Amino acid sequence: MILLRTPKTLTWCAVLLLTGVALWGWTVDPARPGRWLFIALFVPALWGYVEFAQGGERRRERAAIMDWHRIVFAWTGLVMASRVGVELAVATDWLDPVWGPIAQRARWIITGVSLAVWGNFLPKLLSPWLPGDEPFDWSRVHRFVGWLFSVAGVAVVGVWLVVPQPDQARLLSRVIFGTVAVLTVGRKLMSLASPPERHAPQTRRRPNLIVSDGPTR
Amino acid sequence: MNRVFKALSDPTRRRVLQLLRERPMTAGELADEFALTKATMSGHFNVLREAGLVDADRRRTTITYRLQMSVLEDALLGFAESFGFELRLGAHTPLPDRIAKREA
Repeated sequence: MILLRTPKTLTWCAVLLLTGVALWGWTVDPARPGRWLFIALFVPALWGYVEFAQGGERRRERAAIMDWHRIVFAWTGLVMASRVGVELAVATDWLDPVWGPIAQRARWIITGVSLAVWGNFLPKLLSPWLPGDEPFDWSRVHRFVGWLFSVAGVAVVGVWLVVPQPDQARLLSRVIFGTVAVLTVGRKLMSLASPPERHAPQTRRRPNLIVSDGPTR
Repeated sequence: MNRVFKALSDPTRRRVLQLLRERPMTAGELADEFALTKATMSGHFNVLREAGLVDADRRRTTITYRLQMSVLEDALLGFAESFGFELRLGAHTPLPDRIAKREA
């Protein structure tokens, strides 16, 4: 329970787990150092970037966004580690090869569910910028991306439940993820191009009902 | 979830959510869109806030409301809009004693 209350601890655990899996992979297959380095550094690099790059003036919103990112990174690390872990366990005869495809299917279904859940809650994140300071239309972009992730997550789950051939299912999943990535980046770029003034609440100028035509007597 | 259903069951609150989809708005701006008293509007805002559908940001005397709906809640709003479901005190629900006495 303490771990669940501290997303930063969870992310550190995921980073350590990935480092361990990468080291294990390096001992099993030392001919591919690039792959093991990528596995060890992918989550820490993304995490570091987000910790330093996240802008905004509102502390409460910033803290919520950072916690959300940390949980997503921890989850990503866990999924990556499970994937590589099963692969290495099969390669070193720790696990029967029959479990490989079952683990793969289960992992993709869990990934799809996670994407749908992530998408569902994405629009709940509030902008950390003050009205008028937002570099892009935070609310609309997050609502669009939230819907996109939710639909894509359900689609990925459907693909891995219905398509019998793992190769075809993997190809379809990659197409779905690629489309999601292109649409997400495209929507954000579109929003960055729009003027930020229109995101702020419009302060109404109240009509001055007292017409003064000289100093008050 | 009950709070969400309760919040979405009223057409005024649904209209408030639709307005907030466009951009964050102050309480005054929102109140100008309806022919309702400030007290009634304040009650609607409280229901929406308790359901976690909007966030209220107070700065000095101004309260700015921002939409805070998940995809599922957004879909429920769309569903409620399409079918126009409303929570009515009708034949199936007994009226609270105070209202029943007044009507008698």
